[in-house]
This record gives sequence, structure tokens and C-alpha cells, in this order.
Amino acid sequence: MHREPGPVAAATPAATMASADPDVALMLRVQAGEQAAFQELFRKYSPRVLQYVRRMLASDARAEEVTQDVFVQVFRFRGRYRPESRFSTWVFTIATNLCLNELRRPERQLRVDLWDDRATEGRREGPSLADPAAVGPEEGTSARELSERLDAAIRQLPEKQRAALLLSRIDGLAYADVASALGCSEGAVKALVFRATQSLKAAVREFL
Amino acid sequence: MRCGRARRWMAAALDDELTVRRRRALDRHLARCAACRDEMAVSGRLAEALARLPMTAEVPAAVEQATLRRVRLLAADQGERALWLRVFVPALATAGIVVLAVLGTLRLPSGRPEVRSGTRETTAARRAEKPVAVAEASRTARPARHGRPPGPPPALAAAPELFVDLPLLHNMEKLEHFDAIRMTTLDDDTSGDARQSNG
Amino acid sequence: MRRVLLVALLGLALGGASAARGQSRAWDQLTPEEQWKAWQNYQRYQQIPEPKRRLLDQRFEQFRALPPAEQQRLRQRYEEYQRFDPAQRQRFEEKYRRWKAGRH
Repeated sequence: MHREPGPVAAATPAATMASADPDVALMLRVQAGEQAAFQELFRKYSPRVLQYVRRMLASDARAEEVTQDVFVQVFRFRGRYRPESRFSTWVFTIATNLCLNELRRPERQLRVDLWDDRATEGRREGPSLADPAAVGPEEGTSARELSERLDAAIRQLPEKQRAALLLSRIDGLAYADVASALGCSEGAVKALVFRATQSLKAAVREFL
Repeated sequence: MRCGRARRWMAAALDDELTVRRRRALDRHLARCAACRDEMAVSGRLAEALARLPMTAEVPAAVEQATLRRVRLLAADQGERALWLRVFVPALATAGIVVLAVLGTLRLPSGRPEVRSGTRETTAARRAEKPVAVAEASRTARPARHGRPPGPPPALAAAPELFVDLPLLHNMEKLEHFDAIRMTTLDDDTSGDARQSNG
Repeated sequence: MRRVLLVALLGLALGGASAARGQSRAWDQLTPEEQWKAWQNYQRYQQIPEPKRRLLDQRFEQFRALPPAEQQRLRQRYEEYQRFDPAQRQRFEEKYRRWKAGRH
């Protein structure tokens, strides 16, 4: 699969890097106060960030709020962005930190509780799940059902395994960038991804 | 090569990150081990299935609008703060000096010879107005509040603390009877909170 | 002596009530963080069915009527509740269900 190349080499002048990477150019313009550049970055990355956050939090409503928070943080701390690192790494680092904080907050349970009584209770969070009793390989499992099974299995993964798997296998970040986002070593990322894929294999083997 | 190592190398092999030497070693193992061949095939299909999962989601327009609104407020707040430090603090300091100077002038002894009484009164009146005008100018120069959400709807404005405390209110029964709940024993309680709190 | 006690109690009650009333802040008196939180919770509140909203409104009035010390005690318990790790939280919720079942 296509994976983004590893971290950009250090000590490269910002202008050179800006010409090589359009996101760096945009971010430099955001640092200069240009809100149009911020809007462009938002439109480019928010679909990926929203999908990532949705899978991490398993909640559509909260995912939209956290996605907003991600980009507000991008803007708030725009002065801290260094062109040596890829913008995608930076934005997914922020997203991962916010998601992990969110998952570890007991108050998240409160928010879920508040939604329990919603009039729209029939609306399920996240993709709908196929009925396990109704689906089997002998009935020719569709690719869509496999995707749903995978999404469900991903939601069951421990947080860091989930983040490592999503960032590397779906968002295509290099292991070094995933390590940077998770604040751990590359070796640790590989171990996380290995354990995650083993769990997924066990969960969806019959459908593969 | 043992199967355990082969399975650990499979992911790297699928990502084309295995060295040539290791890839050959893995291939030799797969040639003799049917179980690992199956596992490699499953790993490959899983990788394809994961790659087929959608990477993006449609972002509702409301999310973009809310984000841009928050960012505009943040920018205004950051800009106002910077402006306040760069412009208004020196302006206030200057205004303060002017006020003090004017007040000092007003306290001069009344024996000073008048040149033109009308002019002196007019000048004094103008000077008397000036501190007020300067004070008003400094008040209006103070930046309006920014960095806050937009004005609340009536229901929110009527009881803002209700909404700040909403999660607490949602759990009020638990909080009111917190200790009693913690003392409740469950079937699998061996030590239990009751004993711990009494101990 | 009884008269002194009654006056003291009355004073406490009035003081508590006025203090409780005094603690209700207007929108402009909230910090920006509190205002954002209130906005978010307001949006959630809008999606709650009417009966549940009325219940929360009632609880708010009950909370406001409490003496400040009692309000503070509830806030401290809420902070402790928020600090529970997932295992502690799960255990507490089980105990809550058991406790509630035992009340009826």
C-alpha cells in the first residue's frame, strides 16, 4: 500500500520546504495570519481527521466536536509548527492527543448518557453492524459487511493499538510519523500494529 | 525459521519493508509451511480490506462554519490582546499623564493676572472637559470582549450556570448519595469500599 | 436560649438563600471556557426529550437552593467521580444500580 515517505530532513530552509510541500506553504501563511490559508488546510484535512476521530471515539456527534477542537488547536498553536515536520503528522498528533484525552475522561460517559434519552435514539453511532447470526461465509459476505465487521473490530481495540493501526494502515503515515504522533518509538508502533492486526484477524478471519 | 518469527515478518513483507535477505528466508519458510502460507494469505486479504476502508468522511458545513467562527474569535482575541499591549497601554499611560497635568494646572493659585477673562474661562472649561474626554476616550478605546462564543439565546442567557453544571446535574442522585453508594456491597466484594472506608 | 437558636437558624437560612442566589452568575460573568462549555451543553440539552429536560431544570433549582457548603460538597464529589479510572467507574456504576434497586 502507498505510505507517505518518512519525516522530512531537518535543517532545510522553510522556503525550500514550502516549495516542496504545499501544506508547509499553507501553514507558513497561517502563521503569518492568513485565515484563507487556514480554511484551505481545513478543507483539505478535515475529511481525513473526522474519519480518524470517528473511528477512534466511535461516536459521530463527539467526533465532529473533537474535529473542530483539532483545528482550533492547529490555529491556536500555529506558532509552534515547525516546517521540518510534515503537516499531516502534526495534525494527526493533535488529533490523537485529543482523542486519547477524550477516551480517558469519565465525563465522556456522561455525554454518552446524555444522548441515551435522545428522541433520535434509533440513530446508531458509527456504521451499522451486520447481524452476526445472519451473516456467514457460506452466504457470500459482501465487501460492505466485511468493512462493517472491521470497523466494529477496530472499535474494540485498545486505544493505542487502534490509533497505531488507523494511522499506519488507513491514513498511510510512515511508522516514524506514527511514533511521533503517539509519542513512542518506531519499534513500539510496529508492536502495536502487529497486536492490532492479530486481533483483527481473529475477529474477521471467517470473512476474509 | 520458526513460525513465530515468520508471522512477525509478514507485516513488513506486505509493506515491502523486509530486507532482501529476510524476504528470502521468509519465502523459504512459506514454501515448507502450509499454516504460515495460509496466515500470509489472510494477512494479505486483511491488509487489502483495511486499505479499502474509507479514509475520509464528509464534513458537515456546520462543522466548518463553527470551526472558522471559533478561529476568528480566537484570532480577534489574540490580536486584541497584542493590540492592547502594543497600543492601548501606552495610550492609557499618555492619557494618565495628560490628566495629571491638567489637574495640576487647575490647582494653580487664583491670583494669576487674567489676560482675557472670557478666554481664561473658556480655556479652563475646555481643560476641565479634557480629562473627561480623555477618560471617555480611554474607556471607548478599551477593547470589547472577544474570544467568547456568540451571544446566547434567551434560554441559555436566563440560566447559564444550569448549562455549565449540566453533567453534574445529570449525576445529581449519585452525588447526593455518593457515600451510601460506595458502601454498597456487590456479590464479589471481598474487601469492598465499605471495609476500606471503615478501615 | 431557644430564641437565640431560632434567630440564628433564621439568619442561616436567609444567609444561605441569599448566598445561593448570589452565587447565580449572569452570562457575562462566566469565563470564556465556561461560556463555551455552557454553549456545548446547551446544544446537547436541546436534543434531550422534554421530560428529561424538565428533570434537569428541577435538579438545577434544587441545586441552587442548597447552601453553598452543600453545593461545594457536591462539586467535590463530582470532581472525585470524574477522577475514577474506567475500572473504578464501572464498579461504582454497578454499586449505584444495586443501591437504587435496594431503595425500591
